[in-house]
Parts: sequence; C-alpha cells; structure tokens
Amino acid sequence: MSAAVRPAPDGPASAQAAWRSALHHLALLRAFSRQGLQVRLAYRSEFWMHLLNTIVKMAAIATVWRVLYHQSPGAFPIGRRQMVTYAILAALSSEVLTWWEGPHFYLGMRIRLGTLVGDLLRPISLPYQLFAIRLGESLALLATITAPALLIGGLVFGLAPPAGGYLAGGAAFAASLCLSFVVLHCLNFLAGTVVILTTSMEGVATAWHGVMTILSGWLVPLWFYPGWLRAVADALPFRTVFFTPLSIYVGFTHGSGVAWALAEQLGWTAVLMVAVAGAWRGVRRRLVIQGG
Amino acid sequence: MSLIDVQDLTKTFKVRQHSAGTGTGAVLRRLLRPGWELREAVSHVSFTLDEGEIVGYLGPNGAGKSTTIKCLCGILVPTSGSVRVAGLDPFRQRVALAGRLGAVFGQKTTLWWDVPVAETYQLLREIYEVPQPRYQETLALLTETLGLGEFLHLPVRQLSLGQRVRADLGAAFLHRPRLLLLDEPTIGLDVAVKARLRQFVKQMRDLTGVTVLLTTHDLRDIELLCDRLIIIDHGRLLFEGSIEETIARYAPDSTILVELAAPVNGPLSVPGAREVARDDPDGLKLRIRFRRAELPVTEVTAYLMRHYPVRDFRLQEPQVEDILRQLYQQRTSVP
Repeated sequence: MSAAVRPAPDGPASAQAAWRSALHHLALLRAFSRQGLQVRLAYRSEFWMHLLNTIVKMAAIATVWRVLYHQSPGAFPIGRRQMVTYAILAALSSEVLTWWEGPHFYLGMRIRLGTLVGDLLRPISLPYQLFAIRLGESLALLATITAPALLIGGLVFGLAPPAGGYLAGGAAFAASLCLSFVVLHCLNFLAGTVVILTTSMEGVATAWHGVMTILSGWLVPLWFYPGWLRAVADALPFRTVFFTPLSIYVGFTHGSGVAWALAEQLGWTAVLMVAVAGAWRGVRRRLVIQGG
Repeated sequence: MSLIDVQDLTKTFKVRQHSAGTGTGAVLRRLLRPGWELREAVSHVSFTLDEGEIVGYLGPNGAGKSTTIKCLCGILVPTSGSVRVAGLDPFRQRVALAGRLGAVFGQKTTLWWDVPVAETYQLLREIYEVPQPRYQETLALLTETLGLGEFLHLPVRQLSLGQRVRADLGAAFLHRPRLLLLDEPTIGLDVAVKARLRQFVKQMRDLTGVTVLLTTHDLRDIELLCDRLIIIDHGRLLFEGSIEETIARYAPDSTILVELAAPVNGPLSVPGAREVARDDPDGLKLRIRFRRAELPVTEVTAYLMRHYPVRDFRLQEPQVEDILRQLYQQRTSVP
C-alpha cells in the first residue's frame, strides 16, 4: 500500500522497492501486535476474568459434547476424543478470533462517537489498518489467554492429536486457521460497512451473532444439520471460519478433501477481499462523521 | 504555489428528518418510513492557503468549519467543487496525502485510549515510516516544547485534558507534516496550556515552515497566531483577509470617551466626527465616534483640548471580539 505512494521505478530498483515495502509491512504488523498486547493487557482484572471465562466456556462445551457422545456414540461421524477436541478447539479459536467484536464492532464504536477521523488520518487503507490491529490483538490473545486455556483443557479433557499427523495435519490446520482469520476479518468488515450505513450497531451485531453461531460451525458441527440447512451453510463463506479448520484437525475432512477445503477457503478469501475493497470504496462516499 | 486550493466547495449531507413530530406514533412511523432531507454544511466556499501561513478559519458553531477540514483531510468527499492539498485530491489520494498532513481535533483524541503515549508514538513512527534518528530528533523537540516528558509513559485515559491535547499535537507532528489542521485545539484548556500550544504552533511554523489552518473560538488564538482570517457562516464564506483588514472592514470607527472638568451647555460638535453625544445625565462625559481612516485621532483630540474643558480621555479601538460578535449575530453574507 505504501509502495503505491511512490512512483514505480523499473528493474532491480522496483524489486528493491517491493522488498522495502514488504519489510515496512512486517514492521507495521509487529508494531500493531505490540499495540494489541498493550490494549489487551491494559486492565489486569479484565485479563483474569477473560481467562477464567474462556476456561469455563471451553469446559462447558467440552462437557456437553462428552455427555452427548456417551449417550449416542452412533450419531457421531468421529471418535469421542476427536469430538471433545473439536469442542475445545472451537471454544479456543473462537476466543482467539473474537468474532463478535471485530471490525464491525470497532467501526460501530467509532461511527457512534465520530472518532473514525483518527483512523482515516493515517496513511494506510482502513480495511488493512483494522486487519493489522485485529491481528495484533489476536496474537496477544493467542499467547496470553488461549495458550494457558489449551494447556488446562488438554490436561483435564485430553486432546486428540491432529488427524494426518502433527506435521502435515498440524500445518494444514494452522494454514486453515490463518485463512479463517482473513475470511472472518473480511466478513466482519462487510458487516461494519452495514453499521456505517445504518449508524446502528445493535441491529447488525444481533443479526451477526445469530448468523455466525448457526452457520460457522463453532458451536454445533455442521454434520448434525438437516439437509436444507447444511445446503445453506455450504453455499456461504461463514463455515470456512470455524468448521473448515476444525474438521481438518479432527479428520472429518481428510485425504484430498483437505487440499480442496483449503482451496475453497482461499477462493472465499479472494472473493471477500475484493468485496471489502468495493464496499469500502462505496461506503466512503457516504461517510458522515457524527458530533462535529 | 498554494498548499491548499479550495474552489467552490460544497458538501451536502443526507440527514434523517427529525422534524416530523414527536411521540410514539411519530417514532413508529419513522421506523417504517424514515424521512430524509439534504443539509448543506458547506456551500460554494473558495479560499487558498500559501506555504507557511497560519490562517484562522472562523465561524459560529455549526458554520461548516469541521466539515471543511474533513474534506481537506480526504475523510469526506466533496459534493461539488474542487479541493487540492499539496497538489493532491484529498479524497482520491487520501493515503498519499495522509503522510503530509497532521491534524488535531480538540474534542476527540486520535490516540489509543488504553495505551501509553510513548507506545502509540512508536506505532505512529512505523505507520509514517519515520527513520529512527529523525524520530528521536523530533521527539526530543516535541518533548521539550510541549513538555511531554511528565506523561509519555502514561496511558491516554489517565491524562488531563491539557496533557491529552499536547500528546495529540505531538502525535500530529511526529512525521513533520507540511500541513497542520487544528480543529479547536485550545478548547477547554487553561491559560498556561493555551499559551504553550500557541508558542508551539508558532515555533514549528518558523522552524519547519509548516502551514497551519486552525478553527477556534478563542480570540487570543486569533490575535496571537493568525496571519489571516477566513470567516464562514451557514456554510458560506463571509470574509477573508488579515486581522487589520477585518477590523478596517467591519469596524471602521473608533470611539473617544471624554471626561470633562465642567459641564458644557449647548450643542456639541467635532468637525468630521460621525457622532458626538453626552454619555451621562450630568453632561460630564462625552462620546465621539469617528472614521479612523478619514480623521486622525490626533486631530480629534487636539480639537477637543482646544474647545472643551477636558480632564481625561480614553480611546476605544475595536476588538476582534466585537467584530465576530457582530458578524455572528447578524449572520448575513457580505456583498
């Protein structure tokens, strides 16, 4: 993005400029990560409550699935340990991605108080800037909240290793989760543009909460859905946020299916990035800054 | 070449109609069928700013000042007219322009609320790609002139208003912008902080040649800082010129208040004066109003000394305040 500011030189000079630009973006992401850590650890009590909340949520979801599995093991396409692992990883990745307070939430707050001005003064595109902030906060959460919670979850409930082995399976899961992050960011940003247009966050946030809970697979794996609902979920990008990486991890998606799932996520990522750029371009023209 | 070139700028907002009655019925009706109306916040405004100028952009509350500034930053798109800043179209080239401008909105901070000021400055350094040595140099300068040292390590939420605005000003200047847009920077600040801010702005202009456009309701800001004034109201340009020109145009008269040793009977007259009147029932105080440009003060006072038993007199020069009050109250456009 900053490369676009400078005139594009030719030959080796342009390669050098690209390299410099890449370095700049890395430095930027590092700086935003530090900032994210600062934001997330600003209040000590908030941190401890968040950690406690995460552990309780994880334990509750895992317990529910363990009990359900015990009652009718035949209803599950994967093993008991895998199912509990799905539940734990769903609860924890949901915490890392904090899907309920992404860019739509941020934009909602900024629009309400008229402080979006501050973000728009910076020489970075707004979607990218929010991405960097989000990434910083997510990395901070991964290190401070999820890692300890995962340790506890593993000790108490026991975790299944990634299907397909630690190296290949683990890498596929990690790659898929990274794509999840980008897909979620784009979806959240699109919801944010609706918040900007309607200047009302509550309505959008409520709808958003429902859609994500039903269609992303973080609470209930999609294989339990009736055919028509499954068809709806399959046609939409939401399930690639949680269901895709989690079903890769537990082995529900396996073999060549993994590559397909990743390709599909990649496809959605590309489509949504274009959509975000277009939506933001459209919304910028209608921007109103409230409160003078 | 001018740094800012605004031609015929108009910005209209589509706002929800709130005039369509009150009460539950009206609220429910609006829920189903919201009424919209267009409001012109800025209307056909033109002005230019040269490099290194400090210009006051004045007008009563709601005149369209902040909207203009947001158009200059590229945050809002003009409805019509053209805006060029440093040769760029702010809305289309916002990212490119952002590196060349800094802005402070006195009522809203652009800093991260929960993060120490120093951390945010570090982030800004990365965002604006300021090389480390230059950053250190600028930070040292800012720390000294704005007195940032005492609170750089504190999160913004713990700062007083004066500290916060100083931190915001520092943030706006870290990348050495060519243009500084200040939207009511001194609002709510105490005398000492205001003085410090003014000194800072002047100093940075002299040191770096930065161009400054500021909106304010503080008369001292205007008198001490501004080379030139641009006055708008109802989104329209009322006047543009130096403080002297503004005064000459809107308050061409001066007044002399005279105290007499003994009452004077009969008609009063001072040749060339526009008004001579008794100011109290005893006839011991006189008020003489005259056109400064046509009649020198010395001539008036000399005549008074010769023809009246003058004990004391006082010259009343018009103040920027009087002019603004007059302008804002009349709210009429100048032909």
